[in-house]
Amino acid sequence: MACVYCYEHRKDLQILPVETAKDFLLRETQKLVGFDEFEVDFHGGEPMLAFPQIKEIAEWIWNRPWPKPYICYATTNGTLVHGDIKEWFRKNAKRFVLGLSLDGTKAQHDANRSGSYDKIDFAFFREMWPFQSVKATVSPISIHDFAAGIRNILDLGFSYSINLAYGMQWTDDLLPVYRRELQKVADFYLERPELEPPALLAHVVSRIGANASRPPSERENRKWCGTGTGMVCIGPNGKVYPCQAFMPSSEVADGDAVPTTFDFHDDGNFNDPACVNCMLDSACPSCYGNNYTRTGTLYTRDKTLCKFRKVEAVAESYLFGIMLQEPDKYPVIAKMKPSEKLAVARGVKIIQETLADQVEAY
Amino acid sequence: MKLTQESLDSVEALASELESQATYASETEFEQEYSCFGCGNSCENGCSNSCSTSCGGEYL
Repeated sequence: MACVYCYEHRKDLQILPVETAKDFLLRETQKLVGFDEFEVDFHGGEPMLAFPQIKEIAEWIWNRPWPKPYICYATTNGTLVHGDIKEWFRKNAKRFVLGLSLDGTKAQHDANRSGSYDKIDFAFFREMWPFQSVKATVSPISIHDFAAGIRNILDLGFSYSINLAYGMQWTDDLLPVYRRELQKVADFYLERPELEPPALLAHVVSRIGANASRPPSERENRKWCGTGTGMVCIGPNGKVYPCQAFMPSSEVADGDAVPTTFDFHDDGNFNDPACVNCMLDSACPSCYGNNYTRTGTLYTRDKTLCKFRKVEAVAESYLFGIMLQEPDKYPVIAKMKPSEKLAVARGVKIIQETLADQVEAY
Repeated sequence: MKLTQESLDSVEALASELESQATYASETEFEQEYSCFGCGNSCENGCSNSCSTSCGGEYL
């Protein structure tokens, strides 16, 4: 496989030795203060290329006591989940979750992911882990049929998490394409009120609206993931990293370059000063590992995505603006607390009045 | 993706109505709910390429 957006540019690295993994788990699970449970993620490349090692580690995990409840997980491209591997996961599906990478239609998936669509047993994933969202990543190639891709994922019976790939060339000529496709997605969800909109179109207006009523010093501007706090990662070299995005397999030549004095617990350290005057700052996702590998700082966002974030925000405000007018028709609105509904209404109005004309001009 | 003025007025009316209800004054704190287990808080807000975590399942 050679996914077009892969951020792991060094594919010649070793597989984590089983004993190193065991030592790491024994050590780290003694530090679980403040956590109710933990998750053991097996991360590739493609994790199933190391299935014998995964099997050995998982069966070792299941045969010893741990200080907190746990679950095992891996994201896979699905191409090797057949035969003996499939049967092992069928047998252990309740204690090992697999998440599938699926980028939309067959054409989109094949373009992004080396023609691998037909090698996936979709029914198996749907049957074993019906609660698990597939991970859909959009590239400048596959964005042209963004809406059709979502329809296909839903038609296959999956929920999904979708985002534009980091580290790609997101050029302005793709903005009207994205606007057109998100309009289709918004219209689709308006026609299908029983479906809950994806996180991609359901996280901005509430944050913007909630922050609007707060003084600047009290505005929520939280960290976007658990890197260095809720997550810890060990590489095949035995070194520990804040998450897999900082490992040597990414673009950083030496993962040790992550500053040891950096306080990952202080959310303020992740704020990009260049974004402080942007109205979407508090609602704009950021991958700190990707930031670091590109720029050498953890907070410096990929600015080629700025206009695309604005398109997403306007699409979300359009979708929720219409749904708010028929709360009984849309369960996602009906179940909101009044404070949530207020935040959404405020956010819709702010984004529409501030960004809608700008985005229409793209 | 631009709402009509009529729609915007309707949203504004809803916001005004909610704001006018004193019982909500103490509820202005809006907490985003997260259902992502692995990395703590990212999936529900549009996670990045590098995050890969479970969305459910039974903890042992």
